[in-house]
Amino acid sequence: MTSIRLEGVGVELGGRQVLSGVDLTVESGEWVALIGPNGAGKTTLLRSIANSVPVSGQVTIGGRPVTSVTRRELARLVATVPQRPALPPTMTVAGYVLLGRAPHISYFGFERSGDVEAAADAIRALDLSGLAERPLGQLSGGEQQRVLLARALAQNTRVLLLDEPIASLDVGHQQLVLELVESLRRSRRLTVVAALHDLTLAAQFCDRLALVAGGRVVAEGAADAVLTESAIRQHYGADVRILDDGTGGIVVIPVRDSDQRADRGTIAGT
Amino acid sequence: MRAVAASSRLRIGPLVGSIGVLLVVAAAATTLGPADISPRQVAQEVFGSFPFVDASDLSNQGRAILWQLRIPRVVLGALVGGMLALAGGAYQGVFRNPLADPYLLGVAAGAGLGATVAIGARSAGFPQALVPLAAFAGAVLAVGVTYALGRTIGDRTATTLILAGVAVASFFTAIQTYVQQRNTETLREVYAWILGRLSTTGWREVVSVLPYMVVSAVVILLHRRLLDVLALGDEEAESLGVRAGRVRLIVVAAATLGTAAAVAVGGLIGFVGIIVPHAIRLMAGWSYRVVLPLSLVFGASFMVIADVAARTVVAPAELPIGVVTAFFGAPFFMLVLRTSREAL
Repeated sequence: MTSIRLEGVGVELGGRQVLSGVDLTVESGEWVALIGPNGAGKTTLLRSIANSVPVSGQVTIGGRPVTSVTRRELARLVATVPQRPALPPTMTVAGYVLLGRAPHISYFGFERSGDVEAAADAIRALDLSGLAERPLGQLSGGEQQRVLLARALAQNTRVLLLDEPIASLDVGHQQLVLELVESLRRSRRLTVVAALHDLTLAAQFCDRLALVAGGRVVAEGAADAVLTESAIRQHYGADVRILDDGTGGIVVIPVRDSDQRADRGTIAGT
Repeated sequence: MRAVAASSRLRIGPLVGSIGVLLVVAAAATTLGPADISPRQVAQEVFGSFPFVDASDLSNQGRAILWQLRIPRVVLGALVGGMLALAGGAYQGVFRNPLADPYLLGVAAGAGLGATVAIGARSAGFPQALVPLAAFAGAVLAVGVTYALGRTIGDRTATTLILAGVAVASFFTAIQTYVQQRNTETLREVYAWILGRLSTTGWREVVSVLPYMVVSAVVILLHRRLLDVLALGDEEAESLGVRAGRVRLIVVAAATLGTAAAVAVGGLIGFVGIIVPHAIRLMAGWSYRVVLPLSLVFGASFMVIADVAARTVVAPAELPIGVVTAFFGAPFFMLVLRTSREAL
């Protein structure tokens, strides 16, 4: 059982209340997307699950409060792919992925053959074999994202936290990375929580969406219930149309207000 | 998979090779000096007790020079150089800062103050044989104060510690300068100490620093895998189950102990702690599993060579060894930098 439960979670950072009264449950094997405008608290919510910030209220994984397990135990339960990871430019892909085995190695210990195999498996699973000896500084954005996933996979956890995993990728690589996450989730029965900005992709890939705004979860549920034009206008300040994609899914497209377009045209013309 | 297995291992080949280089350098260094002792005589002296080796024809005086002057000095140079390079590599790892050197948290300023006070107290009857001990105590005290200060500020992040180190170093240096100005008759001696010098009276120095250096080196080398994890920053290291603050505390404590011992018998020899680990990194890659053991061995060779230059170039006088390490180290480092630009 690796369900994640947040009850009345609040986080205060530097005197600012970043999260307050957050209740959220992610069932074992589920993929939940955290959506919401910049600064809404998505990253902090992920960090509270990873016990990286001091939290009021309670966060449990598989029924155990994250604050009651050791750092190392928690690292064997939860793998995090941060939004802006440190990628030492001269470190090799193989060496980086191998660091994912750290929670399985004792303090003064070194990798055993099982660790090397797990890292090699992760490298193969993300099709990185040809890049294993490449320094991180020489990778493209899409390759970097695969390397990050490989490290998380080598960690061999049941929970995967992704913070904006596709933010800097083109549309093809966005789909590729999310498909990879989906296939890993199925083959390894992972529970996934991902902060995502692309609402259409979030709706297509995730079981449920949780809309975070102003440090609270203001809506959660299936994509068509959460993604309404009024909710997006209210919380993102954006004008969008929500369309049926013809296969039962939905598409969120931004639209420009025709008055504003006319105004800007006039300004540009004068 | 080979690439993964390779990055998990200590590289034996380069390590054995560099130890070979160190032995050759050390052997050569024992034959160089004002008294004429040939390589054959050194070999016979060292291996004389083995079967099939002729006893050496060295005079008693030659034997005394070899065993009580040259060999202890070569060994001390190797210990000090290896220790400073290893500690420098370790500091660069825990602070994720390529410009970190073993003096970063106030070791130099603390040792300088300790030595200055001890040398200045000579007229008051302070035994000069205890100057190294005073330097050692000053160094450990300064880093202790830095750490305590870093903690009171709140966190134990690398930046906080470095800033605390800057403050403590300035403070100790201010006191040191004041004490030095009050005792102008010892100015020259203090200055010579600060420039760094290796001088031995038999095996006494070697024996007195060896225990600290062994403990320090073993602890640092055991952390080589964890320093690779720390390269990802504190939060990511923590998310991989590694307590970054604790690793930093242990490694800094070990490196300080070793550095303080090195400074106590060698004075403030600069440059080794920065350039050796960097040169290794440029030649042998990013991983501390490789960088730390090789820094230890190369640092030892580098210092032995520098010391030969220090005691022969202007013989019978001696150059301060800190001058030599910088004079030869800087061009060497530029050369390595030029030839391995693609590694950056």
